[in-house]
Amino acid sequence: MKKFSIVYIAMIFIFFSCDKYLDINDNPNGAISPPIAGLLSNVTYNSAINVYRVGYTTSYFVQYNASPNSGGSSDTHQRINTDGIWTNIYNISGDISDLIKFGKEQESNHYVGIGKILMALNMGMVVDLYGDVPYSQAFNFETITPQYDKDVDMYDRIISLLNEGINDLERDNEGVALKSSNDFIHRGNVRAWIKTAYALKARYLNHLSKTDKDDVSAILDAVNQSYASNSDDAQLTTFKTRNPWNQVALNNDNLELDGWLSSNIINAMNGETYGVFDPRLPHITRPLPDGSFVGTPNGAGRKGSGSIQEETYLTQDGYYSSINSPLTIITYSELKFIEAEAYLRAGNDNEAYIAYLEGIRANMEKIGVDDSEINDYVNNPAIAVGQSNITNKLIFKEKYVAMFLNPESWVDVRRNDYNYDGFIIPNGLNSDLGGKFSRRFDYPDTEQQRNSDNLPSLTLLDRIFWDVP
Amino acid sequence: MRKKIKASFLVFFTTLSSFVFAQQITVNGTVSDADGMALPGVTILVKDSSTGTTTNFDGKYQISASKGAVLVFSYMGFKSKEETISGSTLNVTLLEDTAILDEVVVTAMGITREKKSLGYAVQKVSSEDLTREPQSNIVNALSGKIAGAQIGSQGGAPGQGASIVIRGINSIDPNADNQPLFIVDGVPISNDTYTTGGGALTGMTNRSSDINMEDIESLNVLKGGAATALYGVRAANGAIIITTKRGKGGTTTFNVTASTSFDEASKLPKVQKKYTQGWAGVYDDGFWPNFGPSVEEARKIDPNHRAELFNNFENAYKSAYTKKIHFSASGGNEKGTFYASMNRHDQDGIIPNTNYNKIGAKIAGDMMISDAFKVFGSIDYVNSGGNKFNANSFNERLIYWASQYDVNDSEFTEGPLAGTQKGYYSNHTSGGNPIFGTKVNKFNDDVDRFFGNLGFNLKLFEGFDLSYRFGLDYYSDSRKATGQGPTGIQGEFTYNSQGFITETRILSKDLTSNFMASYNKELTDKFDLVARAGFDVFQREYDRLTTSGEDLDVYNLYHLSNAKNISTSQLYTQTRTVGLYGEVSLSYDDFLYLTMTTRNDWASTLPKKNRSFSYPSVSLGYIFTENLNNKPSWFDYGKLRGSWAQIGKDAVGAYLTSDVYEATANNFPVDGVTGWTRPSNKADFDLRSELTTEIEIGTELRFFNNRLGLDIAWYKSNAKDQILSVPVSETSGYSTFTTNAGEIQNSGMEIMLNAMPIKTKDFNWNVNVNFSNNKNKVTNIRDGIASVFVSSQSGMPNAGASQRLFVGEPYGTILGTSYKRYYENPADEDPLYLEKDRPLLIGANGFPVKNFTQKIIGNSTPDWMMNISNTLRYKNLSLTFNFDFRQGFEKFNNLDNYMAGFGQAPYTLNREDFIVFDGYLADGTKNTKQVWLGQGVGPDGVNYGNGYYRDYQRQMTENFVQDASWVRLKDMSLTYNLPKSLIEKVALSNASITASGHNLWLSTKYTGFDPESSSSTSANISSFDGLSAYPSLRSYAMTLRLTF
Repeated sequence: MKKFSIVYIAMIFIFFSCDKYLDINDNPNGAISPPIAGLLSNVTYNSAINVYRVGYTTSYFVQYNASPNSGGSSDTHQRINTDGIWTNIYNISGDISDLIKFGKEQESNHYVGIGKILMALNMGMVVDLYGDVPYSQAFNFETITPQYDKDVDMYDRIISLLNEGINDLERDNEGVALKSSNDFIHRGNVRAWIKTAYALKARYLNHLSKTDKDDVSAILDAVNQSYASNSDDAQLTTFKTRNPWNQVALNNDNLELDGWLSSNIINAMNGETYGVFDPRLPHITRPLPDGSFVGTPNGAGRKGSGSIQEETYLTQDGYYSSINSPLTIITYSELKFIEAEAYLRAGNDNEAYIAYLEGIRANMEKIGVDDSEINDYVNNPAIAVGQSNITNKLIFKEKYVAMFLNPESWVDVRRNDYNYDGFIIPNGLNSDLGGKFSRRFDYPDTEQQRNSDNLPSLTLLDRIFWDVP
Repeated sequence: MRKKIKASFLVFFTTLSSFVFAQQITVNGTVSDADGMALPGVTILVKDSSTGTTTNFDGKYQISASKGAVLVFSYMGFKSKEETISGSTLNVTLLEDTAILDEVVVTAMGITREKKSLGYAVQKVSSEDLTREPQSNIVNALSGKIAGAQIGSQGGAPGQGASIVIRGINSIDPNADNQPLFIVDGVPISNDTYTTGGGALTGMTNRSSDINMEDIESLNVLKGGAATALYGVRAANGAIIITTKRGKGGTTTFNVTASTSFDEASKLPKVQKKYTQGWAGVYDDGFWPNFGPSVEEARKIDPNHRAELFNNFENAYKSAYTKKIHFSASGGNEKGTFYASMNRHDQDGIIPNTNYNKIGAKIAGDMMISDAFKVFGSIDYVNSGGNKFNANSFNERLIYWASQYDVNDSEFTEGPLAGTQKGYYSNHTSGGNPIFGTKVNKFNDDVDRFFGNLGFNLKLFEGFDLSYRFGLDYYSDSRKATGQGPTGIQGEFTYNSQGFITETRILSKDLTSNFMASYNKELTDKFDLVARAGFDVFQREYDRLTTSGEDLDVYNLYHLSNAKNISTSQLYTQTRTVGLYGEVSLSYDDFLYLTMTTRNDWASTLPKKNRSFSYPSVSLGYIFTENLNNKPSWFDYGKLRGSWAQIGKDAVGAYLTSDVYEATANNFPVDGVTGWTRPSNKADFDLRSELTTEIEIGTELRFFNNRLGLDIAWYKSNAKDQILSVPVSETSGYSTFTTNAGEIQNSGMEIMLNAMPIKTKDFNWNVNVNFSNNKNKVTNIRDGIASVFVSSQSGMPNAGASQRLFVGEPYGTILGTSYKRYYENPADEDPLYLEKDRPLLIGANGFPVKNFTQKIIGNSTPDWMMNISNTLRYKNLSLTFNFDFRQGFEKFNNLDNYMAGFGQAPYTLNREDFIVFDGYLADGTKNTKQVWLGQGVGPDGVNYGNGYYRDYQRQMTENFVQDASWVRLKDMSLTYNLPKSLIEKVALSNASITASGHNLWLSTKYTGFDPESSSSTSANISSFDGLSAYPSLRSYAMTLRLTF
């Protein structure tokens, strides 16, 4: 019986020490509070990757790229599932909101400022794709089904974020110092970030060109405080292994067909549409063996069997698709085209024309076109139309080429109402569209499955508020 | 006390090394039945000791015991008999127990109970049934042997990973394991399958395959809640209780088992052999493998073209050999026994350059320290692993490969390119060669594992026993995935654009400690009581480190120092559970049995406030034939049983109750900088335990002198408050939220029948049937959540399939794209289900209209499963064979999808035909438009683009969701027991030789590989079995068994 009581006591003892024995559920694989420098490296790098991600899909809508298969769903403006874009933008925005939160707690104003600018960039992209999107209730698990904010209200928030970001960057940074190694966009250069904030402000204000909120002087003011040369561009130049567009070209080389160029962009540059050969074209892709540049018509797919090359695609030595090509977010060249548009709306054709030519030149210089070729191009009568002949259509046309692969182009294309020479209705266009191009993305599958009660009901023809007919 | 234990250990180990102990008298004899027929395998024990032996094939035995000792003779189906030793010869006749089969089964916590006393279903599989033919994986070996268990084999991959689910999928969580707990000698052991580090789609081995089947004495399967109630949380999906062989007192016996088998792919897809390389019917020695002209036309253009095309699958998959050897020695005396074994298994895969090797050793012993105190222990060591290859990559390249070339001609042997990959086009410098891939890309796993137990039984006083058992399951898994980089030879066609190396180290450590006290008491003449209480502690640790690098300096030096872009990931988890349990069993007059259990668990994976949870069970068995007046003589035994049980379940994963930030941001590290992110899963700080409630009723019936037996079980279980990663709006800041949500219901029936239609002295025929069906339904997910994504598999363009859960629908739904159907009133269309029988909607161009919105096309959960096994014995010969049925389920075959897209599928032979699709135009008129199925401009002058097969057929998932029902001759074996007269001359006591075959015949409509093989290591994802599956094996084996 003595033995029995020992066992009994032992069991009681074990039972009471049980709680401590079981207190092992603190996760050793992470930290309760993250280093804000580590958040910054994530959100600077991956915001740029988000620009690529959106650009990958919109490049079919704006006919930079075309699927080698006939009836490609992006080519033909079908409803496509954009889970990847949506998820990545919101995931990074969640990390950005943490960066802002922890940055504030640690009085690291410069982190907060960069966070707000990147939040504006990500929200800007998502609003321009979908319209109404969750924001006020988003990011912090207030609810598992956040409500949607109106697109027009989102623009106010984007501008406020940029203004606040500028303000935060101009304040003293008392907490964690900004480190160049953790900032993949501007390497810890606060001035450069302020310029980028103004650049984005100019971009988003200019989106309102067709609305009654259009404010030309505010746009020009923002342009003035933004970039002065190509060296100011916000871009990613360091990659984990390679520029993602290089991965596209590499995949294509490995027969996972990808990065095929649309006949529309090729024809716009090879002289077919405009009668001028654009010297940037050989920097983008390689010609066929016969020296010609041939694109794939959107929706039609490839011509031949693929055993001999009959079309062009992004190449591993192209300007946009080399292993270390810069992945641009917003550029000096884009600012010049914004400036040109704004001046034109303000009636200042002279300044508009100067900015238009500078936009072309800046882009060509960035790409590395020879000076003589640049001069030949900008002096060509089809380009050098003179200040009295500068038109919105011409600015849009040149901006379209200069903004190759950038998702901002789909905003331009819609603001310009798909009004480009040579822009074709794709073969097999989505029959629901009645012969028109789509004006937005449908909400992605994840949102339809997980937040259906809040989801606005829209068609692909419903326009974002700035897309005024 | 301590000294005593020390001394006992000394004795214990001394015993192991000395087989012969104190000399006593040797008793010989024969055991036979009432007809005088010798009974082989009768257990003979010296009463109140652990000394024992069994009779040989001729019913003869020999045992050492002291004069006056009592021998107990027991044999299944016969009444046990006790005889006192009076001389050196003792012949015994055993009488058949016609009333009751005193079958003893091992139940939860290793408690052996008479089967008749149980209120729930258990099923026993004998060692003989497991090892009749050589298998490498115990889960595969169980296939067909357990009613209600669905085995998902990963096909013929070396090591043959497999999964098992008993009584249906119990969890909504797509990541839940759903597999039963494996318990070896009372200790739970890991059955993990990790694909981390490069093992995805390689047919990764599940860890229970480390159990050596030759060492198994018996295997009992506990299916329902009442059966597993004492085990608690970890056995919520059932339990497989394995008892390994122990030594028997008396003689020392040695066993040798050797087998060799010849393996080949059991089923490979058929291909068309008419059309060769090219596009749109035009011969072109380029990329497109099979859209060219006929071979005849091609030979006119290219005289070097082969006369007959290869079937790339038949050409690439090899036949292979597996060799196994097992040696064991066992013996002991009344003070102690031992069992020791060694084994080796070498298998070559049917994909070239793949293999699996296993080497193991085991030692087990029991020591009677006193009449009341027994110490036991055992330890297993296993080293297993081998080279594996990604089956998806292999099969995909076989489809691209132009079948006019021999895929085995995989590298240049001369010229400047000697030693580099030989493709199929562009002068053989393009078009990847999968055989070459197996030479330069390797994935190797190397597992070192120890599992074992140590414990004691102590009889404190009559009827009161204490037992303790400590268990260990420890393994390290060292994995290496490597790929050769460019050699630098000018013009080389590389298999990998860059070389790579990934090193993974896994350490897994499970510790269990179980203390149990039991009390037996005859309360009255008729009432018996057994009460048990126990205390159970379990700890699991998992530690993984993975380091990868790419871009090798020296193209074939697989050392991390030789690689760039080094990145590392690490995961450490630890969980613990503590349980207290109790059981009270009451029996009345040997016909009424009542068992009640309760268990309380405390789990580290739940928040402190919800950490403790308890759950009860009650079961009742009633042998009504004991009370039946006028029982007909042919009705031997009848029992009714019923049970009700609840099972609580903790969170399976660690760390689901708190949020942390991790330095694992996408795309990082970049340039030596880490990226921090919040995890995608949000923790629920209020997580609670899950609760499953199950009822089961059943009956066991035996007729005609036990020559016909029937066991029927019906069950229904509802698992609610399931801990589930609920997918939430990505805009909430997280992708998933782990919380209590959802309920799933399973109900089904299991029928086990055995019959002995013929039973004579020389000839026996025994039939065993296992039948089961299971109906599953997701009854609730969470408000606002319409469905849960389980998995998906890609198909060429748009023809991907996904597996999702919907409320009201069963597990295993397959969704995909489909042709639109015609509805007079389009509003009649079911938004979720494809109504396949509806006529097609035909477009203005004469082709069916494509619908890219995924709908439910099929379900991968079988309606019913059945196995019929026969054993025929004639004198020294025995023949066994079994037919396996799995009926009423579909699978997505993306192998066929790729074969259609590249012109290899046999049905693409009609590509030059005209056809009128049967269906209606949108305006309701019948389609009459004739269209051509070929590519380019048809004979009618219309341009058909890429043709029907590429532009329509291959884009619709529904064309590739196939009926996967099967019937097969699963196993067949013929055993010859060598006559005693012959073998005694060479000092053998038993010798047999077995010829066996596995998967000899298969009937199915499924056109891919064997539909039993699944590409997924998880039992939850069974819908997909196309491109990425390993073909199953057909094996022919010879096995030799010797005992001396």
